[in-house]
Amino acid sequence: MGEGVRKAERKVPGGKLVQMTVGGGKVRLTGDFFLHPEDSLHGLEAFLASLPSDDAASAIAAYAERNGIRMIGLGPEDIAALLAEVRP
Amino acid sequence: MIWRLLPLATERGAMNMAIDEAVAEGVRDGISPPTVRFYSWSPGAVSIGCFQSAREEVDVDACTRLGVDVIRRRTGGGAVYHDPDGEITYSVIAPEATFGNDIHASYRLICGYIIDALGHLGIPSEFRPINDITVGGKKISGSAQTRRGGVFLQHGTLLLSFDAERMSLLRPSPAKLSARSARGVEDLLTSVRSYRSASRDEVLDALRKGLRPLGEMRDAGLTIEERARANELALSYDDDAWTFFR
Repeated sequence: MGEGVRKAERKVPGGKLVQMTVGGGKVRLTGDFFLHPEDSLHGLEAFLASLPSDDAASAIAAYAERNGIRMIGLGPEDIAALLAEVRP
Repeated sequence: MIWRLLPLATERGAMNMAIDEAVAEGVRDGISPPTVRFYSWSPGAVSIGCFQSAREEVDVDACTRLGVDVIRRRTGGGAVYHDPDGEITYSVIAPEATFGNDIHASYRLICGYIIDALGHLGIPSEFRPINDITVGGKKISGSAQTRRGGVFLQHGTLLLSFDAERMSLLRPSPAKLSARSARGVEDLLTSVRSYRSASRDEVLDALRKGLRPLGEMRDAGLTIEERARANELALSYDDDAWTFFR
């Protein structure tokens, strides 16, 4: 990622810090949150990169449910809000 | 349930993480018993959560200059400076069924044992969800959990003391600091010795008492197989491609 990189972060109230970086067609999530299983992150990032902005929270929740992903300290709505913020 | 207790041992960061993982694999394969482990870190090390960016969270150049290791954990959570003298780290590793499916409840349960340990030292503390223990609103213990291959692993810190200068190796996000009205990491933390003098052995004894409700504990060491596997796994924790992959 280089030119055109956009970044946003939020400290989820009662939860964790989540940062999103978008650029070059990729989405990167970083922060002190927990995802179980941990190796689900790459799949989630790839899903986010291809996700339209409309109703993103529901789509992320459905993706997590389908793939048995548990999010601790963040929720689909936090990720959706970050997506909305970083997308021009 | 009978638990193995691995008494306090000091290792470098990569090996500490590799031992946790080797024991978890052994539990997964039915060849290692459920295990409680106490350990410390030498040289001092910064561990980062598996979803964090090493270069954003840590002053890597200063760590190199000071001989402080930087390693990435397999567990989520935040960056921690592990001082050789200022911390006891614990792990609880067992079949996942031991603690059930509820991640929040299992944090609360195990942190409750650490709170009881602090109570044995005369330090009243409380659980701060999701995964912290605080005294007077400041964090004295943090923990992180993973569940892989049907195995539950929670490791966590208990601060005996802290070195504000070394804590400056961490670069917490302004959003994280402002959420707790803190100027720096030192405003967020406290330690056992901020409240009373206590030897490491006294604290270990209190931890043993606190964790007693888990079941019978029998002191033992790592098996040769676990040690060998940990040596192998340490190579991956030493690999910059893992530490700096994000």
